[in-house]
Amino acid sequence: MNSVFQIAILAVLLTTAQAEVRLWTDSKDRKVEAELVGVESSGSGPIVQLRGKNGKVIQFPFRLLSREDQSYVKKNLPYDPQRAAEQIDALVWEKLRQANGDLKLELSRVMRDSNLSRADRLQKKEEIEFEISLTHPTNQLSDEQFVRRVYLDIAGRIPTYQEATSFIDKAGNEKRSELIDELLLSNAFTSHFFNYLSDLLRIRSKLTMNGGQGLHSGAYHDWVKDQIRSNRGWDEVVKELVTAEGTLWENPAVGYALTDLGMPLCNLSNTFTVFLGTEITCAQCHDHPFEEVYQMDFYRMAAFFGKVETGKLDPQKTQALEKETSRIQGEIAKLNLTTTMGSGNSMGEIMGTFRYAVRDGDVNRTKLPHDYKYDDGEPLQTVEPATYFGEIVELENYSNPRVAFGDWLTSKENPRFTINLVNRLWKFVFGLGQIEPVYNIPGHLDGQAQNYKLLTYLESLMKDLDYDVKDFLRVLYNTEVYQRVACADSPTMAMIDKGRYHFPAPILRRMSSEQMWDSLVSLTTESPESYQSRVLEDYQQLMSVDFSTMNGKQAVKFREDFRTLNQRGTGMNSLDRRVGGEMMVRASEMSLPASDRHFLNTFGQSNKLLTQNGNRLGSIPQVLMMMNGKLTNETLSDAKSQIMKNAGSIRGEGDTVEAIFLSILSRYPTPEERTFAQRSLKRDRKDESVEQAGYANLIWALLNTREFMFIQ
Amino acid sequence: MSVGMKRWSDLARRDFSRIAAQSLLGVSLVPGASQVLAQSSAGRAKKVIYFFLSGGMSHIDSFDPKPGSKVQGPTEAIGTPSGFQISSNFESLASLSDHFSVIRTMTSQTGDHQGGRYYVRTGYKRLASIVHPDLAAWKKKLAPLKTDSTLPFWVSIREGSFPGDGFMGPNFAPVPLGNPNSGLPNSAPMVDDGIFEERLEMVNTFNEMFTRRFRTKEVRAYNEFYEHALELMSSDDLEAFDLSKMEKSRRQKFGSGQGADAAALAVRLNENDVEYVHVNWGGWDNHSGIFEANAAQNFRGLSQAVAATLEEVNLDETMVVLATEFGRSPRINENRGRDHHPLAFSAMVAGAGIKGGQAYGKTDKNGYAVDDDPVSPEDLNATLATAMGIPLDKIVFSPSGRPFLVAGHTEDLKTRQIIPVGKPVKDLLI
Repeated sequence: MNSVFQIAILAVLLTTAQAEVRLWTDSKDRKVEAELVGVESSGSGPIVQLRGKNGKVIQFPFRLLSREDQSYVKKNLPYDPQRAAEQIDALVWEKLRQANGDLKLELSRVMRDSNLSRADRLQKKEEIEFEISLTHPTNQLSDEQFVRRVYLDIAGRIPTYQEATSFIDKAGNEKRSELIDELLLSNAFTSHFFNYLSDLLRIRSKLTMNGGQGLHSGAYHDWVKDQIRSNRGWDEVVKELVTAEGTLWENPAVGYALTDLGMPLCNLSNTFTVFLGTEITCAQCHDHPFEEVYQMDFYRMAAFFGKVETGKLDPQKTQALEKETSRIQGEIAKLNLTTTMGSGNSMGEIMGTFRYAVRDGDVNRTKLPHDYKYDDGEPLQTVEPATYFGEIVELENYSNPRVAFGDWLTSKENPRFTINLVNRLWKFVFGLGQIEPVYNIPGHLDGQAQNYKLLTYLESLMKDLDYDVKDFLRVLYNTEVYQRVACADSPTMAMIDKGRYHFPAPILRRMSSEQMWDSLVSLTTESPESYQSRVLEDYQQLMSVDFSTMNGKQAVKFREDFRTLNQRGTGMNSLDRRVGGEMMVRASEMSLPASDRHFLNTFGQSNKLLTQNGNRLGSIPQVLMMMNGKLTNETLSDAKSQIMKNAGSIRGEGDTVEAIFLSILSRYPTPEERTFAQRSLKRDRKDESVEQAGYANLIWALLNTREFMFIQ
Repeated sequence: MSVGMKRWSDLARRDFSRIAAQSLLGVSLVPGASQVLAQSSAGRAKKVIYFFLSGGMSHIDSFDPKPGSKVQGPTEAIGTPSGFQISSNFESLASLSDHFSVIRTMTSQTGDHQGGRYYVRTGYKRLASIVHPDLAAWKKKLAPLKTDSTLPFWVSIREGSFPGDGFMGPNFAPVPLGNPNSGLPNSAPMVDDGIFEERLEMVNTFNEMFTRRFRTKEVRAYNEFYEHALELMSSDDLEAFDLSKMEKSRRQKFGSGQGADAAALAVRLNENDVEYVHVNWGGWDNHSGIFEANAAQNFRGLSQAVAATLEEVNLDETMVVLATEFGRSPRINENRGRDHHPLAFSAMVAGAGIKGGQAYGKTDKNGYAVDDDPVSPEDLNATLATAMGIPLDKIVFSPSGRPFLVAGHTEDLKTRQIIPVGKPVKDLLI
């Protein structure tokens, strides 16, 4: 609980603080009007710095402030991302130095070990030397490398030509942290982080697994994007996801529960995996084989959701709706429309969407399975809610057990909630978790984490930041260790498993399928984020209609609007975004998941059925698509494509080569590359197509390099 | 809330997984399973062609006619040389009955299309916490064909890639083909050979600096994928995907339409050592008009294509399977159609490892429920797996460490043994 002071020790006087002037009271009831400007540590506890009306800064011991003021300080603690970043760097270097020393000792011990055969000794030597090589910090990123990395990691795509050059040409010491700030506020970040959450939470365009048309969940997508945009605290977002009630348009957060419609036990397993990094799925059928989770524990946790009803409308409302449906259908039939509407578009289907809601009923329906075999319960016995670790929930204080669960789950005292979040975010930024696998955090972290001290610090930092994800990411992106060139070698599985990779730099990653696709979008369009698929408000308005006064003609119109809206949710009616026959909008604005034969699917986009099952593995169909597919052969080199426009508008072959390199790899070509590329660009002022064919070849070639696919 | 730590795992997870893995790997063979493995059919099916009839094919109008019953409708029953009856829709297949066996007692509880298909193809019911692999992925994992072919091991025609590799990962995924007539997607350059060469030369030059610096296995893997893809593009094997290269007289046997083309392509791929081919054939969701001409034509077209497959493929090493997600209700509804009916449905198996000429199991007089010898999706997979030589008790762990078996599993709570659920139908195996 003292974590607030941990950051206090780091905090300094902030010149940029936007604090308000307020009335402060100390324990002796003395008052002063001032604004909070900083906190400093001292031998006798933290000292709060207040700037009075006259501009003078007063030092005041934290412990002498009134309770109200103390909590104000905790909430409004000015934080300095640079200082926190330095602290992380210090912990990383400390660990690397220590590991380096230990490994050298180990090496000399191995070399002296007479029990080892020569071959064994050489093998061990090689292994240790490899590990030692991964304790050396890599080079600092150049501006070219930095701009590309930071755009891919924050904006989710490569920078455009203009974005890359304006950063590279810019002067000033602060330009890196300024760009980080700018990107964190951009729509591009919302899109990128939404892709991440879509993979984590299995956000897909059509919910329900019961076949049929499925329920379009664009409203839920918009809600998630709104949470990212407004940067709401992660704890609050999570609490709302697990406690939301209503229909998708009344309360879009119900999308989380509706994702597992009819499968509440799976929903619980997923909640544990995603928000607590704890795998308890197996306890659904039997005691956990490796950890202390009993089958009974699983059902007690499930019982928090025992009263939840999904897909069920109250009978009265159902009756009324059915009556209206058949009346309206009758009226539509009388209109004798020439266009045939399939059953998929009938009013019944639309009205059916009212059933897809989350409600809290009166009866707890959680029962032990029919084949329950342990002696602490009988088969089919009703189970009451209880937690099996962390805080003990006092249910009598709650009218709704789900809310009790939400409080327990997101409490700062929950031993896994914060660790899970920081571990997942560390992986989001550095490519690998402090603990792997991220979905299964062990009970004891020391010795399992790559850097235990650092992980503990990250946990307290997140609590201090009150689960402000953007602020936390800002700190990570500002670290020196982040701003280093990726390691030339990847750590072995054994190293990761034993917690022996200590992050001299981020690991080298292939772009995710979304990063690749969105990069192609940024190469072909002028403004990659200009298309937004937003439907929430229109959906709310449409569904608030009064069916009892709707006539046949209005119903036909309603049906049309409903369909158009659903299509917009999946980017389907953005025909003007087509370049060379492909719809070039960001992955976050398209159907989730994309179709089976889409680029996104081929490159490993999650099918959104499982948590984080997107992958970055290679395959032959991918490579064939890069070499012979429509995208790299027609779309990119289409006259409407932005990179072609850029190339065409530049005089001088050398400059054109430069522009194409900067557009795709965000760097200038080397002299050799420039010469080589220039040869392939044939200038013919009379025949523009010759010139364009030259650009097309160069673009194709750069897209097919490993440098394009990987984030160095 | 009051703060009080309750019990919390004291043991490190990895120690546990090691112990558990040892004890799991040490499990003795389950008696039933080892017996089946001793069966002579085991492993005969080196390759597979699998017709999946998506939508839910009516059993009464295909393999389980009920002549004389009010549920039968206008479709007639005809005899076969093996003595059992099938629907007159399947005339082309009738004369080949010695080569195949019909399973009339498929039964499941899943009445939705996706869920039903998932269950039949993976041997597991659908969950939101794992995707189970298709039987094809299990074959690749545990009983792969040994071949020098550069072609993919699994091609799925006119079907998405779901559930596909499930938790096994992309190396176990199918290559999906949309149109059987357009070859392997993206397998030919879109520019002249000369330009393509020039482009490749540029790639090599631009790659130099990066690949010299970064030696990770992921980067090297991509270098290899490029090499393999270029190899494949210039390989004669690729012709396997080119249906126009098939002899005209031979191809005509399959009939016309995309389903027939898919079947013909399946045979061609099979001959070129593509180990597993799925042909997805739709149009069975006959909620209305099941006795109308176009519906009947779908049955007849399928029958012709499957008959041609049985005749053209080497049945000594290839197993041919025909399955669907569920049957259709005996009751004929007001739209002259039949609705979803998972309680009883039919499948067909033929070729390597399979004893032909039988109609296995019996449904009641109206084809509503199973009377004798029910066959669950797990049992079907156990039967097919046995013919392919996949051990039923070989545990494969998902990346999250959960154990799975090819034909479903359960756990003996006393012994902690993982036990197969599916039992192979011995009568169907040689």
